[in-house]
Amino acid sequence: MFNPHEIKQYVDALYETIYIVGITGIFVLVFGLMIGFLLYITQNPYMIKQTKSIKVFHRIIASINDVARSIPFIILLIMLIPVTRFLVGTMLGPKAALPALIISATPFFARVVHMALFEVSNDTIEAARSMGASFKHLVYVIFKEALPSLVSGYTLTLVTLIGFMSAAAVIGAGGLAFLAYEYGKFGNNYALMYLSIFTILALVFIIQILGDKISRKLDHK
Amino acid sequence: MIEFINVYKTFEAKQESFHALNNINLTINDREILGVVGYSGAGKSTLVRLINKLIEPTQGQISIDGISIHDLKQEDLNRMRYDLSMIFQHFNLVGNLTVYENIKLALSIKKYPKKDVEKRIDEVLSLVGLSDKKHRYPKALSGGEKQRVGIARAIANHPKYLLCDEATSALDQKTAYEIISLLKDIHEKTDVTIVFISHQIEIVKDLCDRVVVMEKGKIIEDQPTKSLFIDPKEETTKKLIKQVIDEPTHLKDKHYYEFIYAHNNVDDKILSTMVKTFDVDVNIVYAKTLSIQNDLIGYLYIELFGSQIDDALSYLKSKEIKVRRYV
Repeated sequence: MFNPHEIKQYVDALYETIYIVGITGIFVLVFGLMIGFLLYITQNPYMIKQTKSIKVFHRIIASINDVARSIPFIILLIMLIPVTRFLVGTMLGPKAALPALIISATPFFARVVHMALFEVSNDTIEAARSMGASFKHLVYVIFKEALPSLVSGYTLTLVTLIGFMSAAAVIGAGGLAFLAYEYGKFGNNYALMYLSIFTILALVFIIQILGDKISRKLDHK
Repeated sequence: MIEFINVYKTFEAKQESFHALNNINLTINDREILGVVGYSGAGKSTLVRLINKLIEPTQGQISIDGISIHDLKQEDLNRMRYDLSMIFQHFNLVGNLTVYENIKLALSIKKYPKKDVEKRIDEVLSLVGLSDKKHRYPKALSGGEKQRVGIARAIANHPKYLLCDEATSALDQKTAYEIISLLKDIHEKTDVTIVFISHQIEIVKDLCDRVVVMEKGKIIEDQPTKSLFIDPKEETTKKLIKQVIDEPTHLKDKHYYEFIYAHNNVDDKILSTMVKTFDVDVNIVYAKTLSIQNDLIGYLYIELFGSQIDDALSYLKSKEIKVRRYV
């Protein structure tokens, strides 16, 4: 059904997609957790004393985060062309999509983290405080309680990332979406197009099902 | 010893400020079980949270064992909190930790010697009767069991004080009394000082040596439990006690007397002596006996007829019976 060249193209595209999602996913996880946590503690009087400068600091991070989150991905992609050229050296191939994807998905995940931490019951936190919990112990309790929501939030972020990648395909970022776009647009190989699309769907489902499963496993409430 | 001196607490909101506590002066002695009762909104929960500084007072002095809690650094405050364990109305366990892990967390926070942790967890679990549920998550426990974990977690490090914020209010009556007898048991074994906040005076009467009644942010009454039930001074206290006595409402239009008699004369034949000696007839409308810790207090509501009512009443008063007339 497919010739060896097509199969190679498909395998390469699949590899590129997993590569991009993997690298971006790691960056987004680390930075998103950091920013989300920062947003949370700078707003919580029990974690950090709410001085005027802390409040200003919170507002600055929150604003930057929200602005980055509100720029439509495709616009961000174009905005970042000079930066990407400088950082990655090219505008073609999977690497070119990385800066835009990271900058776009990190603020999204940061908000998800912020919300997940915020949802932790104040009663549980109060109990920990009443025991004389240090900052370290409070963080432990809060993360332990927020972990299932964090996992679902991260799953959501990864799924969104795959969506973003399809947009990146337009500027030639590579991956399955790019394959589908090229073969679909020029109409010469619908079979390969549908295979690519189906693979993207399968990826999304696998991530979603795994994420839900892990989240449920961690949730004892 | 916990001391409150002229303590005020005002919560500032956008529209108006709320005076939760108004000039509180209170001393809580070592090893006593103090009950704090009042209707909701009286300031009880605020009062107990001032002790471990979960809430800071607007004005006034609070000291624990002579140390003022106001100027403590966070670390010193935390160290002080190790000794001021607290249990809660909704238990507030960490839901994603097992029973064992919840207690372990408390011990780890309170820097309990690491080598003794495992042994201590088993000890407290058997004390609260939950050894078989060690590796369960809180979700799989009943309300009463959750509170037992709360208690195990609180007393694990041998604290000097145990603060109970409506600890039995979310439980059914039977379970509530089980928790009370557990607390009594722990008090006997450890001499921990207990501050017990509740709106249920019937629970407090079985547990506490002394009761403080609060209303609108003020302490309106402060008496040993038994004398509070024999001789309540304030209307709110009387209302709270009436709830326990369950006084029937059909007495509304009648002229009747309330007799309150305490343990030492419960067994005497005072009433029959009165009827034989004086020209009075008696109609008993309602009666109730309350047990307060190890004492009994009787409440008797009767109508009196005849020509020597006044003499009969003086006779009762001479037998140390409290008499009150309802018109």
